[in-house]
Amino acid sequence: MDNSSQESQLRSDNSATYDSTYPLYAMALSSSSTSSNHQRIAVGSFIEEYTNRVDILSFNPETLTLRPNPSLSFDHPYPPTKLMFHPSTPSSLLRHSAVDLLATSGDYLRLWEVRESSVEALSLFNNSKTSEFCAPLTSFDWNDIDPKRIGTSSIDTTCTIWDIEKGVVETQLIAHDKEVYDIAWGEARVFASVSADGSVRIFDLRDKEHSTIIYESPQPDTPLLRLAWNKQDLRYMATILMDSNKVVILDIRSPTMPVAELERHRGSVSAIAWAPQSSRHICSAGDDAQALIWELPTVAGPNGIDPMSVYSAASEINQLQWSVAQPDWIAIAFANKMQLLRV
Amino acid sequence: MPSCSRVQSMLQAAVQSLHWTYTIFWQLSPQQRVLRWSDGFYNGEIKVRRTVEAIEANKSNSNNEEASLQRSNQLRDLYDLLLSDRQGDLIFAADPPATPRPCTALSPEDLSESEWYYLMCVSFSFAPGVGLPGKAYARRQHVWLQGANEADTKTFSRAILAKSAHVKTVVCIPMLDGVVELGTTDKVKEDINLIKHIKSFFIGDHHRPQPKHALSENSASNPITEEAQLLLDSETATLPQSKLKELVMTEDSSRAGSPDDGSNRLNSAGLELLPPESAASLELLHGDEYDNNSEAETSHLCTEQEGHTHYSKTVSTILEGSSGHRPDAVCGLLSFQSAFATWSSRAYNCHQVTVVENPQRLLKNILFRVPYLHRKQNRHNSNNNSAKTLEQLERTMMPSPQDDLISSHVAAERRRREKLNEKFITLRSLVPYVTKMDKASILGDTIEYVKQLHEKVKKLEEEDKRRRSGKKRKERAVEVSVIEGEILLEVECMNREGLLLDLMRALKEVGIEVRGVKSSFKGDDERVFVVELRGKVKENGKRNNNNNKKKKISIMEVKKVLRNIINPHHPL
Repeated sequence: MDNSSQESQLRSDNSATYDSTYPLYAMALSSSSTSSNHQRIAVGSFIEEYTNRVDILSFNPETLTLRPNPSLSFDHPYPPTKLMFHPSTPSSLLRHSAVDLLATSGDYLRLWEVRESSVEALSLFNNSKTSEFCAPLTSFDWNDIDPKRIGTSSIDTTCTIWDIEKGVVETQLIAHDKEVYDIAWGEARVFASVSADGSVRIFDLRDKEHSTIIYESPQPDTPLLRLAWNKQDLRYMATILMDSNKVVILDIRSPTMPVAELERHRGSVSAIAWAPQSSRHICSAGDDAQALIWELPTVAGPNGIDPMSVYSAASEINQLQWSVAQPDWIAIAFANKMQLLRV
Repeated sequence: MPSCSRVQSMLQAAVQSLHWTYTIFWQLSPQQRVLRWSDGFYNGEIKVRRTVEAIEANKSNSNNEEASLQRSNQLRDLYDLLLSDRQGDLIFAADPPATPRPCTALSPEDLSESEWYYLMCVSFSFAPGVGLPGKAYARRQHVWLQGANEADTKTFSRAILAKSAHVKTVVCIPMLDGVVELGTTDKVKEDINLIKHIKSFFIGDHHRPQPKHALSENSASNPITEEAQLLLDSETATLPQSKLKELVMTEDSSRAGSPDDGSNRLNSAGLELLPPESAASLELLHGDEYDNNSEAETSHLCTEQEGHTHYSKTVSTILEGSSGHRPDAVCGLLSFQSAFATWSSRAYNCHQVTVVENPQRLLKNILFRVPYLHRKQNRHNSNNNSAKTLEQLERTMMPSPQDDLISSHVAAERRRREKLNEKFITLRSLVPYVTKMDKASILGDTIEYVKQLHEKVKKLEEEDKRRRSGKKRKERAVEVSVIEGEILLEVECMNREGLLLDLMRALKEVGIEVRGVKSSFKGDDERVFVVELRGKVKENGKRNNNNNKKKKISIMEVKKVLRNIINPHHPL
């Protein structure tokens, strides 16, 4: 839906845009700037063919320049389902400091070393015994407290926890009854996942036998598509349902009952991101081409919670990332564009 | 104004007797409780001659007093005229200038430095205790300042003015209801007699009604001063070019005794007017002081610095105020440069519901379809079918229970294959000389190996048979039977030359008389000799020992003899 008539006016001092030649879906922002002041942004293509690409851009928040690095571009089989930079720099994995580690998921979890002028494939993590079968990944999350751990979610109903330093599987759990669509770390050994079975479950690696269901979609078996854990206040998580304009906020201390349902989008929500610097703010974006920033009050009014601010893009927003390194910047992806917006 | 003129006359008399430059009478205004310029007499240098009348006056060298008076009046009238321009602002209507506006104007450049100084003094006011006049008033004692032109502004606020004007000595004497100030461009040492002398001019009028009661006097003077103040309050650094009375050149011949003869000069050659900048700064300075002094509470002498700090304070207060009013976001999250706009419910209500054919299209593709592309690709890896569209595969690959079935098949097949692999490995270990490790090679080599084994077995069996059959042919047959002395011998053995002869001779020796012989040859190569011997057994005489017993030979002995003949090298 083209909402160009309501599109926000952008100035050169509060935004930067990158135009790609193909549609973009996956996106990642480097968490720490390794060199000078620029931040790296990885964007993954969404081409309905085998050959897809991942491009690395450089963003300088002071000069507001956003430029691609043609030498830092690599192929990926089919669209990458998620991209993520290392949350902190694990010294054991880096050979020298001006390097970013990027993880991609698709058929397998792969690690890439993004150097100054080249990208080198570092590892491929394949858990299957034979080469015949893999369990393709829908998503993954990099543990920022214990960065040698990456958790992946797969359509084979399992979540796999990798020790990427040793290159081995730490554990593999059958997490849900159906395909797992997203996974998010809370603490060093605690993660949560959402599935097509409509549930949000929390797992503790110290007790792999048991998991806790903290929410189930009201219509049974309505898939939950995305999950986000509030890193500033670990009590809260957010999830979105299939074909729904609601952002469901959950408190892990009170399961099954959501704390809030944010219902101000005029179309289905596709992406959510908690603010990295504030415990009460969350951003959501969807098919109404709007990105809304919400401030969660301690007490909600009778009419529900209204957003704090809004940005209108030119078309449906498919991806949203809130920069941890530069918390006053939010990145969105819609159509062929990637846009950085000043908060 | 008679009172004024009286005071003025006193002032005039006093200053002229001393030949000093000027005199000012500071009067305390009861309302503001400050000493303000009330009256004065300028007795100093006059700079410019501009008017015809002035020239005439100059020529005439008329009465200096008169000229000085005129000058003073002019200077005062300058204020009056300035005030008259602002008549609307005045509370009390000033006494309209008695004299009409002169055709000639007194312009700034016409004034000498000391005139400037005198003019500027009008704007000053002093609270009791502040400044020279204030101190004199407060202490009820005269204040003598020597070196006024070099004093610092804290001591003497008009020091800068005095410096330009070369006013070197200023004396303030509390008198009447105010302070009489006298100043001169000469350096005069403090002299109590002089003070007494000055006082003498005023004491004579002490019977005059007290200035406190002379409200009219005050009221008369106040408006002027007030007006002057008001004027100077609003005045910027420019002096209006108003018309003033004609300037009259004076020859200050009465000041013959004055050391400063330069003051008698008529032309302005030696006198330069204050440069406009300094004039402006003076005015600004004055203005600051004036503003400051106009406030009753600020009784301190205001220096330029103080004025500036006050300004900066004000500016910073304004800025702080404005910054405090900066619209801050509710939570402090949004910067003022935000790309996000504040959300409004009105806009929300106006925003129509977005109806999209395929909600969350990209997200669903990523989660539902893309993973199965990988699976399909994996299965058909050998097909080199790289260009698969989502639509093609979508039809076939849908998440469904079929997948569960497929996965179980898959598992079973995997197990089978694993078993086969194990067996192949075992097979490989059994077969020697295996060069390649792939399954086809293993099988081929195994086939070869089995064939070889067959051959070997066959050969071995044959050899074995032959050996066995060979051993049977070598075996000899000797049969002997005896019935009533009649012996029958049957021998079958390998033939050799002279075998029959040897047999018969041996038989003869053992006492067997051979009566009949039947012999033949048999076998493939007739190497086997068959013989049948009949005979009679006699006593064996020769072979006996010393016993000489004649004994008939036994069958065993006959066999033994025969075998010895047949197998001479193989004794039984």
